[in-house]
Amino acid sequence: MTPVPTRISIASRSTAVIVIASGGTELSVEGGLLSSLPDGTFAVAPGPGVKVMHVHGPARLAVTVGTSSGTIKMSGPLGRVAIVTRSGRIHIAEAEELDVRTTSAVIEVGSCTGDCHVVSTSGKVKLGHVGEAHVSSVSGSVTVGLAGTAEVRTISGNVSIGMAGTGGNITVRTVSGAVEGVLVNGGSPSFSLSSVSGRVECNIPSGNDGSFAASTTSGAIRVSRQ
Amino acid sequence: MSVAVSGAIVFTDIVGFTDVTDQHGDDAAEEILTWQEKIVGSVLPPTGKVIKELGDGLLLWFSNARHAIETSHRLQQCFEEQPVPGIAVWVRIGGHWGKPRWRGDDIIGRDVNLASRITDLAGPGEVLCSAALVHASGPIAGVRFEELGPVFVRGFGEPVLLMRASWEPSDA
Repeated sequence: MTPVPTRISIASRSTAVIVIASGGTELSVEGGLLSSLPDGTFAVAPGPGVKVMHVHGPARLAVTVGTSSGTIKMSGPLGRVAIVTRSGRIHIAEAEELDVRTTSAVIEVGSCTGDCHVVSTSGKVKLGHVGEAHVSSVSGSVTVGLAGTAEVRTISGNVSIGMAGTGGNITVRTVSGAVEGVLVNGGSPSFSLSSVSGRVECNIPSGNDGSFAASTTSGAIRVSRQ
Repeated sequence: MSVAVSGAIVFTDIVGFTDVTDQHGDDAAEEILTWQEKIVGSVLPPTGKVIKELGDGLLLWFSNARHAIETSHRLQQCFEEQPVPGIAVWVRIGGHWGKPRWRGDDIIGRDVNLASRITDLAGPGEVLCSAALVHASGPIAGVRFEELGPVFVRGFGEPVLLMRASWEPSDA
């Protein structure tokens, strides 16, 4: 019986990479070359002149992708996903763990149940529902729809983050970026909000449902309920 | 003729230092750099040395790969304590094991360039390592190396395998 592939590594300079995870057990590649490695994992590279490469694999497949530019799109439930690219557009629908780093690519993530590390220089970062977010950006904006726990650092990028208010700790630190916190559910976390020269606005009484800490030098801070 | 010796090449870079200087002024910038100089001097093992300062960054050399990674972690811990109260300062660190050419007290060559490019990919508070550095180091108690996959590094033809070093909370 052929074992279900659990991990693939994709290296592509500029070919668009589309990964589709589904309920099957097969691994197949269109527009690329698949080779098995001694450690049981698989390496994928685009064929000559190929513009778009499609990879179909089983659910919970772990995927690492290294590209210079080009679109990276992943759909279906994936395991650990690691992506390093300079530019382009990255869309990941669903992953258990994530590590994405880029100079200027736009990053969109639907959901990530576990650790979600994102490092961006100037690209926009937009995360949906994440378990534990660690996001840093120099000038790109960061939007997190709903995070259990999060640590966000930017220099000048604005940050918008939703928290459940049912526990979990959110920490946002920026130099000049604005911070917007949104309590998605009914709880009240403890607040620690400080801005040296920016406006701080929060009308929610401090509670014990986790914590929300935001600090900035010149950015404004605003916390509200949804 | 210059000499080539194997060792760990480590770059540090203060993230957004220009913005910090713009927001807080030259006195704060100088205070941060003076502080950095002091803490680097205090955490460097006998196997490590500062090759040179590069604005707000440093080029470090270690003859021992494990010491390079451990020292990088100690530096990150120091930076978490905020050198100047009220000013968020983060450093990113990247390292590679290679055989650079020595020109007097300086090092040059492909491996130095690669270490610099690896640092560009690190986020604030992170330590990124080439697979070569991790291989030279071997396992370190309390450290987890997470593979980031094949990475196309600017100026290099072939992808490079990178790892993110993360420390267990008990050691952090």
